[in-house]
Amino acid sequence: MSKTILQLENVNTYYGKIHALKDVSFEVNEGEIVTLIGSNGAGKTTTLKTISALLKPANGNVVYMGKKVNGSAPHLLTIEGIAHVPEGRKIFPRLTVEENLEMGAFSLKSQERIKRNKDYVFELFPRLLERRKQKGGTLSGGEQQMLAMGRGLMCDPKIMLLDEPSMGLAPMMIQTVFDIIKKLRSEGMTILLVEQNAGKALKLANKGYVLQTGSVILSGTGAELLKNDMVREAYLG
Amino acid sequence: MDTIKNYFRLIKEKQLIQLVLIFLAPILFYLFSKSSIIFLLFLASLFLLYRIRLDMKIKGIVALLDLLLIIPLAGLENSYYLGIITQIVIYAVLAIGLNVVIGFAGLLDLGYVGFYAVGAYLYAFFATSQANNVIPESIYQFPLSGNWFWLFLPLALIVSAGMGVLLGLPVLRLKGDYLAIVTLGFAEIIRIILNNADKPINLTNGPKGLTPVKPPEIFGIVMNQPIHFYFIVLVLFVIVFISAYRLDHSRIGRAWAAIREDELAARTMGIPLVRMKLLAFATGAGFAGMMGVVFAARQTFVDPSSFGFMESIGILAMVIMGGMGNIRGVIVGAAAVVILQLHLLKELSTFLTQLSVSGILYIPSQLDPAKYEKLVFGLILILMCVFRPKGLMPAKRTMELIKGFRKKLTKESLS
Ligand SMILES: Nc1ncnc2c1ncn2[C@@H]1O[C@H](COP(=O)(O)OP(=O)(O)OP(=O)(O)O)[C@@H](O)[C@H]1O
Ligand SMILES: [Mg+2]
Repeated sequence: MSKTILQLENVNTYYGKIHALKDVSFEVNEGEIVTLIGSNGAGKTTTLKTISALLKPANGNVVYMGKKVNGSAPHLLTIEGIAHVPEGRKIFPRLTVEENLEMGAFSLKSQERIKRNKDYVFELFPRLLERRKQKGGTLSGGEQQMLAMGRGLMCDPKIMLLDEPSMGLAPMMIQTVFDIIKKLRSEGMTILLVEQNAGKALKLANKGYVLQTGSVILSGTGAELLKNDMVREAYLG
Repeated sequence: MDTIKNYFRLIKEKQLIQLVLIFLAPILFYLFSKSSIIFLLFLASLFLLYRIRLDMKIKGIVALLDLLLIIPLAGLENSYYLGIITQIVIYAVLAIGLNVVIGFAGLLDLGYVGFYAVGAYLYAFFATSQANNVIPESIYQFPLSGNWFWLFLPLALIVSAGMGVLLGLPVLRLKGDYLAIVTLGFAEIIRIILNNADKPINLTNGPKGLTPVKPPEIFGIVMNQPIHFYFIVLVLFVIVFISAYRLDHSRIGRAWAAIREDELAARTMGIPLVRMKLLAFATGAGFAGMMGVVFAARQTFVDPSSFGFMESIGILAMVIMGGMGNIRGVIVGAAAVVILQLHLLKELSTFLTQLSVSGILYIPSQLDPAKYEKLVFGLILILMCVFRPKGLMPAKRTMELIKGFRKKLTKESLS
């Protein structure tokens, strides 16, 4: 059994009166890909935002590396090694590819490490190297997703929260993105993956959780969930 | 082929004219330091000097000659234009400060002049006998000597920046336009306090203001001449320009850029949002406070009416006109606004009065252009919004983005 790196215990998050997360509990072990699936509005993005402290849970615990971190600040968690790659990529359109990457390393002080991470990202995404001087806003959708993931990798993360990385991409590009995710795991990265593309995500994942209107209704290994009738009907159609 | 050759010749001719202007205008200004047209020509030549493609060394030497020799020499002849240039430099510094807040960090600060007032009154309070209303004469006989002026520059910077932090701390946590409203209120509160804090203890002397404020002094020389203030202001300008430039190109500057682009993304990058905004807000406030000290010393008189809402709007207009986010553009904006306000409108109205007096053309005094300063201002800003929405000299990033989008659009329409 590997070590638990992230754990949610009965987390409840609200937007004003809207109860978006209801007693959500799950855990992510080191070196695993854990996927969170669910239909639109199920609360997947809200879960990631709660973990990275962009949102504060009303109650329950977010435990990261054995420490309770709810109520912490996003910039502190970045330093601790949580990288959040947000939904819709959110790259900086007017900064160049390289400047975007450097922004990702904002929490790092050592120029040497920033340089090393940049080289690593360029090795992982040769396309970004070709376009390092290009403005982020002029990249194609797929390239923007690569940039968003590369930017997330720049802060030396221990865990990456990926919010729908395949959204709006062509099948070829989706495959590339999933290949990269797999490769990252093989290099020891822990990944919490939110996906609409449930089939592909479950095939890859060690573990999965199904979220419905703010609650975890089902969990299991990727293979188990793939076989589950309810999952097949609702998400694999 | 011929047309291309012609085109190149044209460019060269245009450059030649510019070159001649750059070298000729300063000499003309030195010789005819009273002519309004030549004054404007000279300012245009300074602006051209920055734009023209020329060896940096030559550029630098000409700029130094212009700033350190021509302007002071012409100023000794005619201090009127020296005053205007000094005013331009003062407002350029203020606009650079506001640009850090608005252009760099994307925060709308409508009460910038409040911090200017804080700096001005801080110095005026101690550099007149006013301070004796609080501190008994037996302890110290105020005013402080002009030597203290130099200490008050950094002091006002720190005090104003501190006030910026106190004001920003609660507000910057909120989203949206709260900051604009709160800063607007802040400046008004400062002005009203200055107006009313003459009782029970007379701190500010109310609407009558404080005077005479001690001019700066160094090595026993009292610096109360226009030429002195020109040099003081020039030094401060260089300091502020370099600080703002370095901030823009630092890690912090990049964080501001990220916040401007996308706040959520910036936060997921681990950029401490509130701290970064606070830093920008306080930096701007500090620069304003420091210039307040210069204002008080230069006017030798401060009263609350100098720090009204229109003043904030004027500085805002400079930032918007020049091109938000671009330090150099903002300087051009400051020059344009000051010349318009202090010079062109005034000239125009004297010209029109002369016409009326000589009976050529009757213009009722209600139509005096000097009275329509705000209207002219408003018109210019509206025209700017329509024709140059990014300002006269937009920040590079803005320009490139526009170009990028155009390219993308044409590509898409082609395919
Ligand atoms: N800022 C907000 N204010 C109010 N309600 C919100 C806000 N953001 C999300 N919600 C609500 O919270 C619920 C969960 O939203 P969330 O964005 O987490 O869904 P999601 O699972 O990520 O959906 P999608 O797959 O469409 O991205 C939805 O009902 C949504 O309407
Ligand atoms: Mg979502």
